[in-house]
Amino acid sequence: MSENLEEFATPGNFSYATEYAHDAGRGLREETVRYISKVKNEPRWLLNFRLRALKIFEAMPIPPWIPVDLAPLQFDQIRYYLAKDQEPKRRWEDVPDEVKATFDRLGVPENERKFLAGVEAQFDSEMAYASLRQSLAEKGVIFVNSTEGLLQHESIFRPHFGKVVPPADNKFSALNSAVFSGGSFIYIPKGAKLEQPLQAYFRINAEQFGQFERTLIIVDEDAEVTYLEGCTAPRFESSTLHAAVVELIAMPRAKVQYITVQNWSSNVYNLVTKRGTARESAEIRWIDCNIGSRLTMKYPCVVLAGTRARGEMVSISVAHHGQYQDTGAKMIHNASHTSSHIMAKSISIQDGVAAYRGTTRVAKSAKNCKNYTRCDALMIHPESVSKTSPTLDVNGNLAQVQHEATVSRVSDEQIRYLRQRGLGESQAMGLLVNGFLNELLREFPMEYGVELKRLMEMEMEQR
Amino acid sequence: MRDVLAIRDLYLNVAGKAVLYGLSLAIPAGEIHVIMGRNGSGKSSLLHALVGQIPVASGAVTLDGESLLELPQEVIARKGLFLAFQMPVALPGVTVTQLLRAALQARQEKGKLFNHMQFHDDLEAAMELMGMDPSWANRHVNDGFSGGERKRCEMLQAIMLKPKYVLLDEIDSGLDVDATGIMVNAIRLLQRRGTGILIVTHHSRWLEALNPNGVHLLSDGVILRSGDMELARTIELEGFQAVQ
Repeated sequence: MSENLEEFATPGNFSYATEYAHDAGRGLREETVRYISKVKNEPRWLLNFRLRALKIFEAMPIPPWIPVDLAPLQFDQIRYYLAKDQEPKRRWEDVPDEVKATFDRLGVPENERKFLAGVEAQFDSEMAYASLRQSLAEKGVIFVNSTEGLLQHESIFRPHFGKVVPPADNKFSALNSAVFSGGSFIYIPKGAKLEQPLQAYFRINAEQFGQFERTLIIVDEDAEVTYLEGCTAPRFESSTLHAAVVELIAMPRAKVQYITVQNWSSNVYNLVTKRGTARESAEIRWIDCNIGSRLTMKYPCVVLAGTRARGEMVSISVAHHGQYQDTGAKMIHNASHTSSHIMAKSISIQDGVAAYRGTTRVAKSAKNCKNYTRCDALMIHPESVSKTSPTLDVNGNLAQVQHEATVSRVSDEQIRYLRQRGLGESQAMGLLVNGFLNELLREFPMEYGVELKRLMEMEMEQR
Repeated sequence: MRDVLAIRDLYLNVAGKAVLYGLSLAIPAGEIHVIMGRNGSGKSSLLHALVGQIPVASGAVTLDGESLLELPQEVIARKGLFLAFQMPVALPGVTVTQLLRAALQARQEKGKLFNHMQFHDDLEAAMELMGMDPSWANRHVNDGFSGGERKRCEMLQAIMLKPKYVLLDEIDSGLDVDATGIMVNAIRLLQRRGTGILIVTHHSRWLEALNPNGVHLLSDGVILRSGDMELARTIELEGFQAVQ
């Protein structure tokens, strides 16, 4: 594991030569959407869904509150579909060496590779590797890419697809709905409790190629699942768009945990819509770590639709020089006796900007709802920026809503103390940053925790 | 030849004011030396200058013949100078274990594997010596610590990091009788290891058990007088004017 992390220690430069069999060209027109749908052999209803979404995307303005100029994105220069002409692989031996080299570089731990049963790795927009562990199949778990999901499991897929995040939710969910490819479809049947997390590795590899994966996870009554996704992007010269949509449905008493670690190169625009619906006594936890990118806008949401449902958000954001992290959470209490919990920590380095944008809403009909929000910001340098904009919209009776926020800076005195203990300045900052995050890093699976600590140290070295 | 920390003709200005002018002192390895002096006489500034935290105006500081001046603070630390701060700063979220591990890893040769087992054994033993229960390992460094707890934590680090020289800035202040006893034991352990020790203090009584090799009076920016425990006793009983 440590060897892999050493491999990982060179920031950026994760690019490998790859040949692309399908390419929808640059720019976005109706033909682009038709082309994507045709290549994927999609049914008529989905093509119509995509075309409707394209119209919505074209009609919606770019939200005026977006904090960073999106002009460098050049929507007409982006490649909206690009796929390696590969069938999903089931055996490690069948995975091309080039892809294995990428895994090496990403530092996918050895033990995880052994567990590639139940693991999907998306290499560009299609799965380069997909293998279902025997025990998962026996439990009736479906874990496939989104195209396979809609083609082979239409009766489960179609009624839920696009319902939690409709295309018209925002401009970028509309874009995703029009051109999506890749992502996962997961169904966990009633009562199935998965001890092993399901994992997916995503990465972007083609310059100017926007990645629009689409994930739909349905967890049936009393079932439990943890899903892990990790991302690193190669460093490219021109801007790259990542606009994903994730929809979760937690049926009564189901538990879903969705863990994301993203480490984008600083030219990526990461505009993601994540939302889950929690039915009666169900529980949805988003655990999200965002590092890098030019701009990340991501506010995972839980709609607490059934009584006693519970939503939780654990968020870590790191904004380095020239980066803007606009992250947060939304908790929508539509039913009584629902509770939600938000823990957000952000770090801004040099002139990086980390903003917390959160919403807690309690519907008029919802009684006895509880929310606790805590956001902590750490600023490393004098020019670092931190912002907080919580929105509370409480209409129901007897709601308990609590918001706490702290802002702190790394002090010269702390750095001097650590240097006296033999740590270089960047090591000292790495230690202080990891100290700040400790409490939340524990929420990540151990390998991720170790990897994240290493990443934080790397972030401090990039000065 | 024995290792030595040598200070020669040291001049030091703090906030535009001359604090030391021409101070010289040599501390051979394995010896205990004590500096006493009035408030504001520059004792603490001297210690901070030795570890590179205050730039010196002129003079020489050498460790085993090698100049320490101009070296970055962390390099001086890795070469073997440890300062136990009088008022160490809190590091919220950073546990005692994490600090020590990071500090030891920073001293390690590149490519060498860190021995976690050895580390935990050493830490357990050092905490026991310092009268710290195992929960200390996971406490956040100096965060919410009492004055006495901070001093213990500083000494724990001195034991764990195995420096060549330990500089103790009023390590005895605010300690109760038991804690002082623990501190004396720790200093003896360091001495047995061959560590050189420079103590800045206002009190002589606790030094009796240490039997220091030298006691020095810092006054007017220089070492005005040097002697043994007798000098410390005189200062404690009769005040600074009696020895000046």
